[in-house]
This record gives sequence, structure tokens and C-alpha cells, in this order.
Amino acid sequence: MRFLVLFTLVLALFCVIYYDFIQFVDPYGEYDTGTFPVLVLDSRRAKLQLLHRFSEQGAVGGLILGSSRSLLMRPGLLSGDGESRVFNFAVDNAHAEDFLAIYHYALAQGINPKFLVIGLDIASLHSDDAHDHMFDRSELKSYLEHADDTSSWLSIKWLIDAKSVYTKDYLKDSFKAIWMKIRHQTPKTKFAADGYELQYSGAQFPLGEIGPQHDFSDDIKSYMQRIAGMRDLSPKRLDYLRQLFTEARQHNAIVVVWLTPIHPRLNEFMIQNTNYADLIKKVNVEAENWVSAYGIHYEDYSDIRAFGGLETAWDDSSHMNWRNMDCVARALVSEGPHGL
Amino acid sequence: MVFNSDIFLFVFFPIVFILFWSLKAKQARYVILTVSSYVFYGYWDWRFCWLLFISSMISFFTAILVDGSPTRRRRLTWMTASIVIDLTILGFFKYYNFFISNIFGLFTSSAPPLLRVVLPVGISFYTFHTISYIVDVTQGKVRATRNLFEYLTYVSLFSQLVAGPIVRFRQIEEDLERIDHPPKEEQVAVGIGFFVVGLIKKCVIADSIAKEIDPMLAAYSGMSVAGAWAAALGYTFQLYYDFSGYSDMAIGLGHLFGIRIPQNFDSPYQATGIRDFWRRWHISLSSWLRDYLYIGLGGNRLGEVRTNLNLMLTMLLGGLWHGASWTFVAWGAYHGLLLICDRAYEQFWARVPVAIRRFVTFLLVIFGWVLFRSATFEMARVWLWKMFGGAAFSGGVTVPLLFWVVLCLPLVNLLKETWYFQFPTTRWWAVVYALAFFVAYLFMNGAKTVFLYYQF
Repeated sequence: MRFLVLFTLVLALFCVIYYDFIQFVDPYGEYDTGTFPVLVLDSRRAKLQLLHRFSEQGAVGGLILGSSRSLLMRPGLLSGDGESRVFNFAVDNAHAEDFLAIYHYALAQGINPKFLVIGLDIASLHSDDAHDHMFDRSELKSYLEHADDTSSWLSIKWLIDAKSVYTKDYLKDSFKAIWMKIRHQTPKTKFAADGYELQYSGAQFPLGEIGPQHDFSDDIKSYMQRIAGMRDLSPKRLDYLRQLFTEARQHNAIVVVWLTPIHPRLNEFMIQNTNYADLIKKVNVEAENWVSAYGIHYEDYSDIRAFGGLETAWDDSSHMNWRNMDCVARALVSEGPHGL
Repeated sequence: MVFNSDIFLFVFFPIVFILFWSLKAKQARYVILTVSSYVFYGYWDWRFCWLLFISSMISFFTAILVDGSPTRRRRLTWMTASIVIDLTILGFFKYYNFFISNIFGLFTSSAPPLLRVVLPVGISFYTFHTISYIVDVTQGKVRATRNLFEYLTYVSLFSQLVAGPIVRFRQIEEDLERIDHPPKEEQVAVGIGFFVVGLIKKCVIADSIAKEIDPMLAAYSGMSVAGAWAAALGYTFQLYYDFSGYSDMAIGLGHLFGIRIPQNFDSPYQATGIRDFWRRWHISLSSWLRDYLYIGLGGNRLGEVRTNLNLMLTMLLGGLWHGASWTFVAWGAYHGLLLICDRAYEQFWARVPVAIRRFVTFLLVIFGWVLFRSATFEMARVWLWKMFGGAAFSGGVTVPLLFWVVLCLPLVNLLKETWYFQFPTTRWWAVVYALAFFVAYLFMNGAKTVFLYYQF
């Protein structure tokens, strides 16, 4: 059995060396080592800190929730008469549990927003019920009441935290971070004090464009992966949303939910080739119940014509650029409930 | 439970391994392997452990009755009774809804109701285990074991329970009898080697390809000609690396417990004909079908027409074995037809240069996989139509898919099958195996994939 013992010891050694390497490079800025540029900012972690600071400077009137598609929703456009201070807490790959946990976090910080604007993606209600890797690692998870009962003895937080770095993507991003350091490149993502996404500190996010020659094959692949295996809406995630609506009502907060679009050409492909249209229909059916049972305001913006969006104003076919996002914000203000 | 999961790698396997080698007695080792295999199986759904247990008990006791029967007629009666029960269980869970909705409905308007039947994982595999055992006992090829736990170990052994290889009792009987021997250093090293190669095949190659082609095939009507070919080639390689990877892991695990599980693949894409392909692909299934079905039907002893009929019937049932779907039946029929042609044009085919034979065989196999992968005939039709020019020529092929196709093409054509690897057993190789395992784990972690053959 010496061979097996040696195999196990060497494997353990590789694990330790790898973990030290990841901590040293810290591509997601989780360990605050600061030696290399943070390649992919952990939006959850960053925004938890930003919201805390933002709330120390004054009352927070509204929260923007959503996925990366809402990162470019400008808080200033939703501040009504300019008196409300709005914070954009959109995070990458957000699901319904993110929205609920963020709201719980805000309440725990003494923030009682007057309104919540939620950009809902179809994939936010994915039936796989799998949390985003960053959600599992963030403080947010502890703010999710009735959090996953899937936690067996293996789901000890430190073990999950440690285990989650052992992926090829983490390793790849570590090398990217080293490469960026060598090439003196700056991090891709930064957030303003109100949570709005800026590419470079103080500068406007550059305007992405999708023209007629745009090749959609990569976009199709990535979006198909995003909703892969999604036959239905997750009952568990629908429950999270209902819980959020109930609690918001108890705290007299207005809730506005808007269904996010994908680029019309990707939308056309998805509708022709997948059950995407069926999923949108199901969300709309649920939304009717939300409106009647919880008094929320709902807008189906899955078609960009609903808010006057442009076919060209996209960073990629799943993410609108700031021009379209400004259209969404203005449409919500004009069509949404009084007080937004 | 699947091999490429944390619960298996870091909890289940270490516990079973330590317990197994800590216990010295033969019976204790049978018990630990049986109990652990039921835990392995029950982790998916414990209720189906009963089905596995009942199926095993029926064949165990019937085999003893067969062994003790004085006349051939009585032996055949017991054998038939056991097989009928096995096939009834399999038929109910796997084919009830299929037959009710497809066949019954054709002849009568008052078909029985469809049931919400869950297909028990691995039922096709362990049913074939028990059938091969009872037939072998009846034919006197193996003596019925009187040791219940030895038999339960054979049927339920977790390394090959849910996706094969389909092992016959006589193939591992010697190892089961000697299961109380002390561990051998070399055996452990070879076991780890097999397992790690299988893990690389599955987690690094097959899953990476699946990530590219699954979205394409979910929207198959949007594929270009190049995309259709890339998807067909990608699936061809995915299926091979997924299933042969599983088989390698099963063989490796067998070695780690002192059981030599037989070969299941032999570089199938290097085949020079369809018959040759079936001697190399899923060997344990094709040899099972040959020995227990084709030969049972008369094989090639009853003239040309009957031989061809037997071939077709065997392949049709082989197709149906993979799943209750007409596309699997059609895939079986397609291969049955190819086998008949292979026999008919044997002499002509032998004169064709080897390189051309290999190329043509490979192409024919790919077309078969299109049928095999397609959920409906419409999907197969559209996919094949696009492969033959029924779409825009280019677009839709991602760079990673291109990379994997270009890499796998020479790999499957030039590399030897894992079975023939001479796994080094010197201690320095523990470092290499550990590194390979570590790399595979980086790909595996968080991916949550299952093996393609679990569905069968």
C-alpha cells in the first residue's frame, strides 16, 4: 500500500501548493493579498462593502437588484426628485436567492429602502437550484433564511470555500491575473460608490455596439449554457421571490420587477429553437399572481420595443449597453408606480 | 452516486477501501462489498435497492435449483422462469410506457394507462448480469455458487453496477474466490493508473466536448454544415471518451479490490469494418448479445437468410436495450443492416486498402451516432441533412470544439486502448498519477456531470 500512501501524500501536497498559489495571486480579490490585479471582481463582495459605506453617508432610498444585465442601470435615473439615494446592487449571475439575501442584508444594516427595482432574467429562476459559486462564498449566503437544506455534513462552509478554488477556471484566471500584471493592464471592472459599474475609475463605460455583421455563435452557445436543462421555473426560487415580495410589503417598500431582454436576433433564435418562449410565458403567468397577491409592479421588457430600446445598443447579445439601460430606467420611471 | 463526485472520491471510496483491506476473512469482504454497493446504489434512490436485491435473489436460488435438477428439461424450465421474471422487471420499468404508447395504441383505442415509472439506474446492466449467470449455470459453464454474499457481490459490485462492463460470473469467479488474498503493490498502482486515465478521459475530454456540443444540439435546426459535422464528430469522441473513461475507472476500481474486470473497449474508431467495430466497441455488451441472443437464435448455423435475420434481430434488440425510443431501434437496425452488408461483401471489402476501410467504417459509425444521439427522427433528419449540405456552410463552430475535434481525431486513430497500457508501478509514478488526478479534479469540480451510459 506504499504506492497508495505516496499517491495520497503527493496529491495532498499538490492541493496545498495550489491553494497557496491561488491565495497569493488572488484573481478574484478574495484574500486581499493585492499582489496581482483583481481580474474578475467579486461583485457580491465588493457591493456588500460599498453599500455599507454608502449607507453611512445617508439614507438609502432605493435598491437596484438584478444580474450583470442590471449592472449598468444608473441609480441617478431612479432617484425621482433627486432626493432619494439609490444603490445599484446588481451582481453577476444573480438568482432569486441573491435578491432575497441582499434585501435581508440591507435590512440588517438598518437600510429600509422605499423601493426595489428588480431586473429579472429567465435564468434567475433556473430549475437547477444551483447557487452561483460566488454566492456560496460570500457573506450573503448567511442572510438567506431557510438556506439550503442540501447542506450535509460536507457543506461545512470552510470546506466549500476551500473546495471551490479547485477549478480550471480559477487556475486560468490566476494565470490571466499574472499576465495582466506583467503587461501592466488594469482590472476590467470597477464600481462607483453607488454600485454603478464603471470600466475605469471616473470614466464612462464605453459604448458597445452590435452591428449587422455580428457573429452570434458564441453568444448562442453561452446563452444556451446559461439556460441549459431549464425545462421549468424553479419552485424554490419562486418561493424566494414571494418571500421577498411579502417582506417588502411588510416594510412598505414598492417593488418593481422588469423582465430583462436578450438581443432581438438571439431572442428570435432562442424562440425558434428552444423552450425560451414557454419560459417567458411562465414568468408572465407567475407575474400576474405577484401583481395581484403582493401588489408589485411588473413590466415585461423581454421585447426591447416595450421600452423603446435599440438593436445596436448592446455590449453583447445578453447585455444592453448604458444607452439601452437608460431607456429602461426612464421607461420604468414613467410607467412604474408613483414614488419611483 | 457517480465516480466523478466528491462524495464518491473523498468519502465513499476511502471508507470502503480501508474497511475492505482491514477485514481479512473472505466472507467479511463479500459482505463489505455488497453492503457498500447497495449504499452506492441507494444513494441515488434507496427504494430501488429492493429491485436489485429481488432480482439477485431470484437468480441466485434459481441457479441452485438448476444445478440440482436431474433432467435437462427441468434445468431449462428453471432457467426460463428466471429469465422471464428478470425480463418482466426490466420490461416494466424500461419499456412499459414505450410499448403502451407506441404499439398497443396502434391496434386498439383503449390502451392501458401510461404510468409514471422511474427508470432504475443500471437495471439493463444488472439484468444482463443475472441472465448471463443463470444461462451459464444451465449450460454447465459455471457452477452455481452457494455463497449468497459472493453472488450479491458479483451482481451489485459498485464499480460496474450502473454502467458496466457487463461482467459474467465466470470472468471474475476466480478473483472472487481469492478475494481474501493480501493486497499487492502492483495491483494498487495499476488500479490507480486505470482510474486516473478514466477520470481524465471523462472530466477533461468528454465533458469539455459536451459543453460545446450540447448547446448546439439543443438548437440543432440552427446549425451550419460545418457545425453539423463538428457536432457529429464531437459527439463521436464524447461518447467514446465518456464510456471508455467510465470503463477504465471501473477496471481500475476492480484492481483496487483485487478483481480483474474484463476489457470493454479496443480502439473502436480504428476498426476496418462494422463487424470489427463491434468487436471493439462496448465489448462486454456485443459479446453478451452474440453469446446469449445471436447464438441462441441459431447464429449462422441455419443458412444465409436466417443468419441475416438473426443479425438484424440481435441488433434491433441491442438498440432497444439502450433505451425505449424508436431512434435507438433505428440505430440498431442501421447497424444490423451494415453487419449484413459486411458479411455479404466480405471478400470485396478485404481487397480495399486498410486506410479506406478505416475511413469508411468511421464515417458509417458517425452517421449511426447521429441517430443514436437524436431525441427524435426529425432531429436526426435535420442533422444529417445539414451534414450533407442542407444549410449555410460555415459558422457556429466554436474554437474549443474545433480544438477538441482536431485533437481527438489523431488520438483515437493512433493511441492504444488503455487496456494495453503497461502502467508503470514504480513509486515515482505515484507523482505522475497524483498530478493527473489533480488536473482531472480541476475540470471535474463543480461540473456535476453524469456518464452518458447511466441513462441506459
